[in-house]
Amino acid sequence: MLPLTKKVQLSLLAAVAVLALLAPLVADSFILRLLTLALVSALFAMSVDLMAGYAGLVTLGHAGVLASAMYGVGYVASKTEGGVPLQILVGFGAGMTAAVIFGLMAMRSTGVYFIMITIAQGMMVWGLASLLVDITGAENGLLGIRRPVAVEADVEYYYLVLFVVALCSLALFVVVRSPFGYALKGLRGSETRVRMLGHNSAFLKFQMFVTSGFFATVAGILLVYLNEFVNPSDAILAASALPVLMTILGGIGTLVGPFIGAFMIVFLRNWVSIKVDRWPTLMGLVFILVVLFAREGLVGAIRKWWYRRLEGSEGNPSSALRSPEPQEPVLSE
Amino acid sequence: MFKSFRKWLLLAAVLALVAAGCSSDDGDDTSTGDDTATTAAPADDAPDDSGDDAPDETAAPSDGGGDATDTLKIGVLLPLTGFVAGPGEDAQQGLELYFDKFGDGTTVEASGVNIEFVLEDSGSDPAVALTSATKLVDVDNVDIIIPGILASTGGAVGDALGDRDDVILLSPYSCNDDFTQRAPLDGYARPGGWACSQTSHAFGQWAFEEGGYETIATSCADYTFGYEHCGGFADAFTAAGGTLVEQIWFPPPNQDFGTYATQMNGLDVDGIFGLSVGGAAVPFVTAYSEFGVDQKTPLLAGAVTTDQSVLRAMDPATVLGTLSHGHWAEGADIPATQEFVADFEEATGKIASYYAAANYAAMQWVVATLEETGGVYDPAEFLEVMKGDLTVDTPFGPQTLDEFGSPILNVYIREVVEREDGKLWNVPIFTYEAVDQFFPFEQDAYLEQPTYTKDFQGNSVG
Repeated sequence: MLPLTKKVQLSLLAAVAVLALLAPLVADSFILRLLTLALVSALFAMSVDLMAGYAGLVTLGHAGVLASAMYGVGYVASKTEGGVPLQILVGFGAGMTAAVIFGLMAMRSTGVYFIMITIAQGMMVWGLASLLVDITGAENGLLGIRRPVAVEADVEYYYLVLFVVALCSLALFVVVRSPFGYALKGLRGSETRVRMLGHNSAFLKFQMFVTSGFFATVAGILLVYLNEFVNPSDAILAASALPVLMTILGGIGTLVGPFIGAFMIVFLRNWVSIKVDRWPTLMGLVFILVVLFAREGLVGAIRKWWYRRLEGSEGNPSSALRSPEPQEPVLSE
Repeated sequence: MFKSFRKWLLLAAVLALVAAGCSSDDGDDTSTGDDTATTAAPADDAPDDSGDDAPDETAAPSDGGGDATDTLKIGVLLPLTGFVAGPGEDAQQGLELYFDKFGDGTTVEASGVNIEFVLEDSGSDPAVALTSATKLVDVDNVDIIIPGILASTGGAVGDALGDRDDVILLSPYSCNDDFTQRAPLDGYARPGGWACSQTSHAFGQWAFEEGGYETIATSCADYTFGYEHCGGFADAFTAAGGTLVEQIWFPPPNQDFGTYATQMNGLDVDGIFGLSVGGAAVPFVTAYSEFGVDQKTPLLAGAVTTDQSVLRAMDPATVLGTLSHGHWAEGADIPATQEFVADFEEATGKIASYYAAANYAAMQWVVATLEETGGVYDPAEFLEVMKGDLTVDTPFGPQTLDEFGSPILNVYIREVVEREDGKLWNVPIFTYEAVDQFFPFEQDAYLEQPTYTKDFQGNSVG
């Protein structure tokens, strides 16, 4: 058994990358769609994890940012003659505006109050989406959104999403290891100490909203072109809760965790549901089991298991590598 | 030692659960297990298939009508989970009833074509429906899709598949006006279905001209279906000469109607048009009665507010005698209706709801159209024939489709009465025959005006 050194991590990453690149050769269009959806969901879950996992501030309204970006793209595509660059620009603007407003609203709150405010934020976007019929089409949603011609085919779009998500993961990897990332972790530990160290914690939270919002916005733009549709159900509470669940399932406070969680949930929801009628029951069981037996999510459980095997096989607990405690972010996929 | 034992136990438990889920699925659900039957498979493939193709007589060549090896696959999206799972179950049972009655439960033969269906869960969420639709089209290679019950899933799937020539959408449930009016979808028709404002147009006309109501208020669910259904009533009622006094809107998934009932109690009108949907219909009707609104102002209910799917759960004391309307009336004295209601009750023990009848009618339409084309299935031509002068004798009454693919149907003004055995059902007291989606307006003038929204509820609304 190998310790999880940088070298092992990098080879795992390379293996996953090769698999991801070759996937379209074997996957039919349905599986390909699920893979694309899982990648987008993973990016969205990572943006939530930056807040919930790293800063310890659970948001239940982030679908508001995602949906704003989707509506931005959708509005231009469906109600005006605007081309793809304008669609993406407006989508980006809408998503970031939502993130900035959310940040200003929530930056001075903590704990339960933070959760309550973010729930309200998500519901606000849902409410506006349901009521502004002329802009959003309400329940009917916005129809007639089409992918850019260059990435029209499912395979092409998959590669585009893979590329963008990989790039964003890399960026997030850098973010969580930057001083800003460590300051966010400080918020999770103790906001008072972060303030004592001279940080403006409110501004820090605002920065967190904007950073996280950026990735959620990118996810929203990718998602709207994948579905070619947006309606208020993209902003409901369940849509905001899903990335949080993905993060907890995979491993909160890591970057690999959201990936694993997203793939599991997307495939449970769409693929297992073909075979099993009661798939929500199955999903509930998985959650209960994870919460009972693997508090740190699957990533934490695997890591623990790996190190236990390591100790067992070598009979020589290596001091530096033994502890799974320092939750170093690991980049994967 | 103990810990690793626990891990294995856990793994075993998970595997057991998965296996249990799969096997019960094989046992009671025939619809999703037939992935092995591919489109247009040669007849000699059939014996190779495992188990479920055992009764082989359907594969035998029929009486020269065509080649019996042709297969027409219908992908049916229904909400089997989520907040519309209740109607979804009725819809599934209606579909299965058709295949049990006219076939062997999984296949029905028409003009030498074997019609099969593949059922998929659309959840109650358009994004899930889109993924399921991709699976139906690309993996199961279906020729026809029934795109779920909710208007939003119908729209999303319709838009996504609109530019594909190899698959058409038949929508007996989602009724968005514009999909067959101002912004018609490609490859789309509504056999067995309706347009959201179609039935309430007739009800509005009736309320003024036959019912003698002169002033009216509406109290409707605050979303697209509410706008269109309520708008249809308000528009036709005011156009006939009536006065709309007040409009109250409440959130669609509402449970506590106390405040709205109090508002309604304060109104001085001849009648209140009320629309509440699904799980919110029961508390709406209950509050209307318990707060004594019905003592003062009669309720004129929307098409689904006293539908059989929710009427089953209502207290007779609160709902008996309520007037409503719809293109479905389970108590209608029409042979086709009563035959279906009896069959459905025998199979499920429930009186049939509109959701059950709609899928059944859609299957009748598919079979009738195939018989008309002599078993030839070409998507575009199939739709043209369907929209032609075909009349189908559905449980809803006789139906034809107009040039947009929207049905011309009977609208029943209904009253909730007790059947001999004490169960509640809707019995027609007045029938408008052959109502099209523009009735009572002129088609061109109607298409000029905007879609019904919260802000536009008819030209004569003050």
